[in-house]
Amino acid sequence: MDMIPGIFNRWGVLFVLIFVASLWSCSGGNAADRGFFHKLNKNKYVAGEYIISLAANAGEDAIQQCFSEYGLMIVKPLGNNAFLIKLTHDPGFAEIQKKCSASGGKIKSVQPNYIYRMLKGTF
Amino acid sequence: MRKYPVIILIFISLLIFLLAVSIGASPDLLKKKFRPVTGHVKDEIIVKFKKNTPYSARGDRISRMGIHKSDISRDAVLIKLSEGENIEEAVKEYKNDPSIEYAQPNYIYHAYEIIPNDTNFSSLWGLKNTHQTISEGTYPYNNPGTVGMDMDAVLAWDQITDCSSVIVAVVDSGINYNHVDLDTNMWDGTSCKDASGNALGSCTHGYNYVSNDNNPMDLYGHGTHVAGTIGAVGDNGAGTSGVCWSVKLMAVRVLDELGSGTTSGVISGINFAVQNGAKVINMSFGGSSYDQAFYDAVSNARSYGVVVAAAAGNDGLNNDSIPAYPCNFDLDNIICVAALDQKYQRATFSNYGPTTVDVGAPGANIMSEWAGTPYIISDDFKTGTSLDPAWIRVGNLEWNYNIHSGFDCLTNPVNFDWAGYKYKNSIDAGVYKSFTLSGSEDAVTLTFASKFELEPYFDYFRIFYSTSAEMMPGNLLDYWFGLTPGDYFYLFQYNMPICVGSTTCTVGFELDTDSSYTYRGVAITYFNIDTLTLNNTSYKIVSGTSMATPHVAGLAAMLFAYNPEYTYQDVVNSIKYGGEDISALAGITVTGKAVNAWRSLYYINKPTGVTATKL
Repeated sequence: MDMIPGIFNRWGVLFVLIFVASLWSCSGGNAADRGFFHKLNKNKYVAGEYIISLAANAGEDAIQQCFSEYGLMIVKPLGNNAFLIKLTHDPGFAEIQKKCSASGGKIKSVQPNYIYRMLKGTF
Repeated sequence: MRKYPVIILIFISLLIFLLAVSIGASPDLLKKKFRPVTGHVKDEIIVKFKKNTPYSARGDRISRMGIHKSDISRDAVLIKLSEGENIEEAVKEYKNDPSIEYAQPNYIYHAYEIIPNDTNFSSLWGLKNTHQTISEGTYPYNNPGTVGMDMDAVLAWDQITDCSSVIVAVVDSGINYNHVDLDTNMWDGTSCKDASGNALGSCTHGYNYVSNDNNPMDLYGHGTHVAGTIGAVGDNGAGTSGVCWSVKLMAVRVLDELGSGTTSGVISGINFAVQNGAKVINMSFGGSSYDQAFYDAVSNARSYGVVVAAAAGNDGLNNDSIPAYPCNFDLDNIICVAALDQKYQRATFSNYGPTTVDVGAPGANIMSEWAGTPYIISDDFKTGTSLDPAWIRVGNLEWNYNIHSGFDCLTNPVNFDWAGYKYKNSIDAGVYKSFTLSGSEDAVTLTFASKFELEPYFDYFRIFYSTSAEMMPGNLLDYWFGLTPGDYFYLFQYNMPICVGSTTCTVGFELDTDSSYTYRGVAITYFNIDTLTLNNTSYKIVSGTSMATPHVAGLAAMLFAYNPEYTYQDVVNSIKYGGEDISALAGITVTGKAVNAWRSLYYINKPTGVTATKL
C-alpha cells in the first residue's frame, strides 16, 4: 500500500456533515436517523474544473490558447456558448481569472464548477 | 284527455331510465361529485320582475323587504334582506306579487370535485387534504392536518387533467421511466437535440449528464419522486396521481447516486431541456454560491418562455440573508417554493424569505413514486464487546472495536480516546469486511461517520473497496490526513459503482504512518452500505422543499395546457398571485400565498403589451 500524495486542507473537498453525538446512538441506524445530522462544511466546487463562457464571436481555440499550459484535459460544450474545462495543473481561480481577462474579450467569464445537492429533507 | 297524464308519466320514466343508463355507462360522471351543498346565502334573494313592470314600481317592491344589492340582468335583481326578514317568507311574498316573474334564494354552488381512482390517492394530502393521517410519514408535526388545506387539485381537475401538450423537464437524479405510474407520461425523446442544439438521434426519455449518455435512469429515487408529483398517470387505478394526469415528463439526470451534481451538468441539463421544447423546468436542488453560468442558463430559458420552479432549501433559514441558488437569482421566470405541512404551517426545515421565496406548497410527508427498493446494510463492528471477527485485520492488530462517547466504533489506536492515547509510528494497519449483496442492486453507496487526527502529509487514513473477499488490491475511494475540527463526527459518503452487479462488496480502512510524530488517530462509526434495486412499483413518503417544488411545476404545466396562449409571465403571475392567503406565510414570503390550482386557473392576468391611444 504505497503512500499517496495529498494536500492538507481537504475539508472543502468532500461531502461532510456533522452530527451531534448526544442525539444519536451510533450502532447502525437507518435513513431516518440522518435527520439528526447537521450540515457543517460542504464543498462548493470541483477542484481543477472551471466553466468558461465564450464571447459570441470566439471559437473553442480561445480556450486552448488560454489554458493549454495548465494541462487542459477536457473541453466539453455545455450549450449556450458555455464550456467545461478540466486542468491537470490547476493554478487556482485567481490565476485563471487573470488569464481570461487577458484573452482580448474572447472569454466572457470564468467561474468554478460549483456543486449542487438535492433538497430532500432530513425527515 | 285522460290519456295525457299517462303519456307524460311514461315520458318522465323513460327520461329517468335513460339518465340512469347513461350514468352507469359513464364512470367519469360517477366521479363527478358536488361538494356538500351549503344551501343559499342566508340574507339574499333573487327577484325577476315581469318585463312590463315600470322601473318606478320596482324600487318600491324591493324596499319592502330589503335593499337593492346589484342587478343580475335587465329585469332581475339581487336583494339583500333587512335584518329579521325570513328568507322563505320573503320568497313566498314576492312570488305572490303579480309584477314578479319569479323569486328564489341565492343558492351557493361549488365546482365539481374529480376524484381519481388511483389506489394511493387518499395519501396525497397536498392534492386533497381530508385530515388523513400519513401513517408512514416521517415528518413528525401536524400529521394529520386540516381538511381543505391543499391546492384544490380536485376542483381544478373539473377543468383540466390533460397537460400532455406541455413538456416538463425534471432536472434531477433522473427518472425511472419504466415505473408503471410514469411510463406512459414520459417524453418520448426520439430525435432529440443536445445542449447546443445538435441532433443526437434518439434519447431514452431524456439525457444523462452524470455519465454523459442518453439513458437518464434514476439511481437514487429523488427525481422519480419529483416526476410523480408533477405527472404520475392519474385515474389509472394504480399508485398516485400527479398534479397533471397526463403530461410529457423529460428526464434530465444531473444528480448522481449520492444526490450531487455540478454547474456543468446543471447548465447542460437546462440547455438540453430548452433545446428540446420544455416549457417548465423543475429544480429540486440548490447550492450556496452565486453561479453566473447557472444564471445565464436560466436567463436563456426565460428567453424561450420557460418557467422554472425552484426549491427554497431545507436549512430553515432566511434566503434574504443567506442566499440559496437558483432561488435567489433575480429572474422573473423563477418561482421559489417553500414547503408547507399538513396544516399549512411552514415546515420546520423549509427556508423562507420575504423578498426571495415566492410561495408555499405541500412539502411534508409527500407520497410519490420511487425508483426502486432501498436497502441499508448497517454494521456496528462488534460481536458482544469485541471486534466482530468478520472485520479482518491486516498488517497488525491496531484496529479494534471501541466505545467512544457512548458509540460503537472502529478505532485505531486500540485505546482511542481522543485524548492521551496515540497511534503507533511506522505501521501499515488495515481492517476490512466483506458484505454479501444479491447481485441485482443498481446502486451501492457507502456512508460512515468519522473523526480523526493524523500527522499532516505523512500519516494517511485511506478508504478502499473491492468486489473480492480481500481488501487489497482494492479501489481507493479516498484518503485523508490532518484534523477533523472540534469534537464531532463527520459524515462521509462514497459511490461504489463496481459493487453493482457483484454478490460481494468489501470495504476496508487503512492507517499508514511514518516514523515521526503520533496523533490521536481515527474513529469510525455509523457504518452503512446503502443499496437501490430498481423496480417499477415502488412508492415512498418523503419531505423537503424538493417535494413542494414539483407541485408548482405541475401547476405551471396545467396552466400552459389550459391557456395555450399564456406567456411565462402569465403562468408565473397566475401561480404567485392566484394562490391562497396563508397566515403562516405572511411576511416571510413574497406573496404570503400557498399555491392553489383551482384559483390559479381562474386568476385573471392583467393584459400585457396593451397600449391605449387617447382620441
